Amino acid sequence: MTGESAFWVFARRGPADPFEQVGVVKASSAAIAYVYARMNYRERPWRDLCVAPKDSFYSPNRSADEPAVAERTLS
Amino acid sequence: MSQPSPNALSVEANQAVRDLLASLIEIKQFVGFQYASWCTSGPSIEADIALAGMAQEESGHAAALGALLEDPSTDKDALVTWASWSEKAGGMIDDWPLMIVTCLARDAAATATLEALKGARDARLAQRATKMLQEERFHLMFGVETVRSFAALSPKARRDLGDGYQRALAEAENQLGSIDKLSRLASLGVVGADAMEARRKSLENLSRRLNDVWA
Repeated sequence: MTGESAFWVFARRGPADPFEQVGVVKASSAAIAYVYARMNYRERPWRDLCVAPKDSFYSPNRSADEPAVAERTLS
Repeated sequence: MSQPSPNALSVEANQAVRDLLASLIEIKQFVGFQYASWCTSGPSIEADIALAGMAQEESGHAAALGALLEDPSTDKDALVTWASWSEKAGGMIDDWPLMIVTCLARDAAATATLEALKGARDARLAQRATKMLQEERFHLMFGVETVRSFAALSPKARRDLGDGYQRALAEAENQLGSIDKLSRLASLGVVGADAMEARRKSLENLSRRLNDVWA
């Protein structure tokens, strides 16, 4: 569908647990991404679940034409 | 202390509860049938899975409400099984935007009624209404946000969808008869005096969220 963005889905089972990335959904807004996430990743009774636009994460390793830091170190 | 069941109510109150539950079940069947029919034809795999999950939840709501009827002479299976869905739903709405606004309107009417039943004197009815409302929050969010995704449609198409929503809401309200039925339940003491206000607030809140969508 056009106009959709990727959202990473994060969830945790208990209040003291760290959030873990459980998947990704494509949606036209954060609100509907949350609904999709809730329905698509309900294999466990998550205590907290949230979504974040994939574009909101910065990583210097993820440039399309640049290898990851680890790869550069090894090569 | 055990809470009274619907059967502990007066005959008149029991009948009033049953009338409302039967109408709610029909709405749930309709919405569940439409979502189930679309769960392999939605705009994305995420939407398909969400539709399947919501169809399952609507079916569960119909079954949970059907179980409250507690009348051996009532064929509960006939009320809540797939066989009765397609017949009562009048078939699949094959236009995606129209299906979304129709189901949103019907879900809105049912949810407003559940808001009113949340404070019912009967503990089982109140508990089930409360549980269903937790799930309906996400169903309404799905409907509202999907409607927002229709922003790319022409202004006329959006206005037509707005009209379709209002028409479906009026039909659902007519089918539920919730104003009359809830007033009756309030006068019989089955729900509190604030039930009508809870219903009104629920509909008003959704209407406010949708105001900018149709423009």
